[in-house]
Amino acid sequence: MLTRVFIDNFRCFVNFEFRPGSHQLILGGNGSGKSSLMDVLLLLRRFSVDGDSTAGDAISRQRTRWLDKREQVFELETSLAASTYRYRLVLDTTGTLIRVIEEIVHLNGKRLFAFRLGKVFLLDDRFEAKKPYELDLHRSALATVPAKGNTKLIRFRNWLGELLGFRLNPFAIGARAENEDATPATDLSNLPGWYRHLVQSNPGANNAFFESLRTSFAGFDSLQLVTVGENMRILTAEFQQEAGIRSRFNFAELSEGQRCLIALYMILHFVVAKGRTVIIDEPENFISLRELQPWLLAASDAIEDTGGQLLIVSHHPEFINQWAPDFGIRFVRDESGAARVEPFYGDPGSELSPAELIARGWENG
Amino acid sequence: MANPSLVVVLAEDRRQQRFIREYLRHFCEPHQIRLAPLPAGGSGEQFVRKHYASDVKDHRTRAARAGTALFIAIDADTGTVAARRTQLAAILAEAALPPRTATEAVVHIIPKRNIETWLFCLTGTAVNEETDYKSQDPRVDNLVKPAAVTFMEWNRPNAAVPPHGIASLTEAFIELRRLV
Repeated sequence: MLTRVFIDNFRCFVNFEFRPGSHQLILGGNGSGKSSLMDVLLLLRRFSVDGDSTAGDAISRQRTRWLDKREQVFELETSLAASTYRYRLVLDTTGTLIRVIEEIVHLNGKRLFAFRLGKVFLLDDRFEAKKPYELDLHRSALATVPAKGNTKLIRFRNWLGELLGFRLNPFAIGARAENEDATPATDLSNLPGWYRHLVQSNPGANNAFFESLRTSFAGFDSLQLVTVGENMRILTAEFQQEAGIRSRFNFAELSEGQRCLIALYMILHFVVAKGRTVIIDEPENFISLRELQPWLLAASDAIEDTGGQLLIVSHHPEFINQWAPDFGIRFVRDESGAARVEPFYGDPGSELSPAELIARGWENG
Repeated sequence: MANPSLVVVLAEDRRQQRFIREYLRHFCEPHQIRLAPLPAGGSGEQFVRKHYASDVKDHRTRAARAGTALFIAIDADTGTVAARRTQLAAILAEAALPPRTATEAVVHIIPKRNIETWLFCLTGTAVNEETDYKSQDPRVDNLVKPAAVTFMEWNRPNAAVPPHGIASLTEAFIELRRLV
């Protein structure tokens, strides 16, 4: 579970600290940095896990505009079982290519890995130092560490690699699955390929997934990956009418709302219910009002049953009324323009719903 | 429990709400349970009292056409369960609404002293109804699900409530007969 984020010098984040809980509703006005949080976490994942140096360039291009500072600092803390990992990445953006000034992983307060001035200092699983080696300082060294003999460090890297963020775009979601796709795109444009991977890697979750969809869609029976070529599959949805008549629809023929709802339950059953950390930016888009609360409650169940973590960015009253009193935090911009986190206090003297309080701008007194 | 098409739950706080939902889940599909908004801070008890009359009114309008139920959860706090019921009856009277009938599917869930008292009791801890067990400790949240299962078991016909069962729970079981 992600327990702390520190960001300095990225968009509106200046000495920004955030300690998320297992359930978290992120509130805030437009431009308060809510979506930027997901963006930076996904960029860090690409840079530090996938070894994608273009992600580093993307990070460096998004320095805080009003600061004359070339150094960017990112810190993540995560609690995995009984262990606490702390990751720190310091980038120098002075030249045309970013340089890693410092990249460190601590486990329970003890240093497990460090990359400084182009030199990697790696400790094994017993915290015994290995021979330092040199590496290109324009990229993450964590991304290059071999799995063998580094179980503890790789555990953190795997966690970061499995941190997922979504901003669903049903218009981009088609039906073709040309291959199994282990990593979902942020907009889930590769949903069919990702689903193809999920049912192979975790078939046990499929029944619960279908059960959820059956309660949401009248007549829904199942999703099928229909073979149409050597490697090509087409994702279809099967429905059964009361008279026993079965109908099959190409996934792209479903409505935008149906596609989004299927995507949300897919995320819930195959990711959150596996104890992983997920951020979803405005999950309510395209979904009918009646479906939001059942999904949110199913998400709460998944978190409570499996230790997963869900950060939701939303302006929707349905989410605000259920989650804000206990799990709401607000991103606000201070006088300097920097984002900071405030708890959602509500108003002890008010009998208005949380959403109505926010709509009136009265949420914090 | 009869199977209503929709159960609306108006509760003081998230723990009460979760407890009732966990209980209802044994009888209802997800779309048959509707949780009313929670208060945005301040007194949950006042929030429930504020919305009680309008929720009963809406329930009655709907119940004439469809099998709906309304669960109202409100702690007895330092008063009695009977006093809380009287207070709710007075709210209906003040709103010029008829009193709750004996068979109406408006269920008052009134833990005494509060929902935490029930959670501890239902998970095997000897409690009394005077002590305030309210706690922000998240471990108390872990009691909600097993407590709801026990609540359902103790409510079965001919079930024997163990000696550490408390009076407000027994009164809740009587309330639930409205739904049979």
